[in-house]
Amino acid sequence: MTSMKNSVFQIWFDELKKNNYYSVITSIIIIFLFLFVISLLYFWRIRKLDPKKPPCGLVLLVFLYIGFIKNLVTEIMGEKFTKLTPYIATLFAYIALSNLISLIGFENPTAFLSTTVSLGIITVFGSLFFAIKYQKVAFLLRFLWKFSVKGKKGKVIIPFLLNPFEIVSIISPLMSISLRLWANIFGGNLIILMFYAIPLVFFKINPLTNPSSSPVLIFAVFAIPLHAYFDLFIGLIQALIFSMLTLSYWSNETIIGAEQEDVISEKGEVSLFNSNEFGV
Amino acid sequence: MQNFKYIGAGIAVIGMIGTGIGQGVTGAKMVEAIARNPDAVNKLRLYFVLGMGITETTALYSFVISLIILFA
Repeated sequence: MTSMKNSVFQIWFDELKKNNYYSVITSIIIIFLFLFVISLLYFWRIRKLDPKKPPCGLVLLVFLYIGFIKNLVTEIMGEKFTKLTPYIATLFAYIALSNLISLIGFENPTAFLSTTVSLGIITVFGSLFFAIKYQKVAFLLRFLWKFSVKGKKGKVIIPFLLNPFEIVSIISPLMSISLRLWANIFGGNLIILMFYAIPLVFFKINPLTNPSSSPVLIFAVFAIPLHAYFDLFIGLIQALIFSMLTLSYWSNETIIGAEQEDVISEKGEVSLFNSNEFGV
Repeated sequence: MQNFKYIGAGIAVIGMIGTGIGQGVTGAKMVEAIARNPDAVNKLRLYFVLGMGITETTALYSFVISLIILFA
């Protein structure tokens, strides 16, 4: 246990407990300033853009980025929801930048559960919004266990209990989507930290308290592939996964709503407790 | 009694077996799909990388849980 007390991990965990959020707030401010400056520059340059010339530089990059996000949105949610592009573009840019910011020496905001859970809460509330907007009362009926009885006019559905599985299925996307992002970034940080802890084992130099000593710098050269994988690759892929999963949760709700509308339009009229087509 | 937590951390990492199987299946299906339709590689690549990323999560959960058992 005494050796564990002095290990790099213990020091790092203690640091995390001590200066909880100051370092993260710094990096969040930097990310927002960066995004703000980029959007101001884009706004400024696109007004002076010559329509006869092809766009170049920053404007071209932003065009490509917005086109990529627009393709993603229309591919998953359909042409009708192209107006969601600004939110997904902001989400992707924020998550990607907060995964990449550790490359220039700041703390990852996504390595803290509070950031990822708040992003996940937005996703869950968005899916609730889409469910209520496109399924209306049928969405509330999903929360009931019901059994059907054969009556004179066909099947009659009688609800008798709250369905706990449906309530869990509202909350479980929050758990999975936010824990996935957090665990990827946190685990990547820990693996890189393990690599940087090798000088501590062999040369008794602590890389956290003495970062500019020569063995630490030599190990930093060998850590470049690790940074390329865990920061660049995983960071960008996880940003893409988060935005794609957000879109697919939302599109699930709208697809269920569209199916119910088809059923209603086929039957002509549907009363609330007189149809077995609502929910399961 | 404190030393039992090392055993617990080791047991927590057993969950990585599932990720190994899952990523193997993902890679195998990718190769199968390319063999069936070589033109679809560009479309498949995105979903392949996404599937790999989602499958990897379970391993990271168990890794983080074992580290939390050890240090937190």
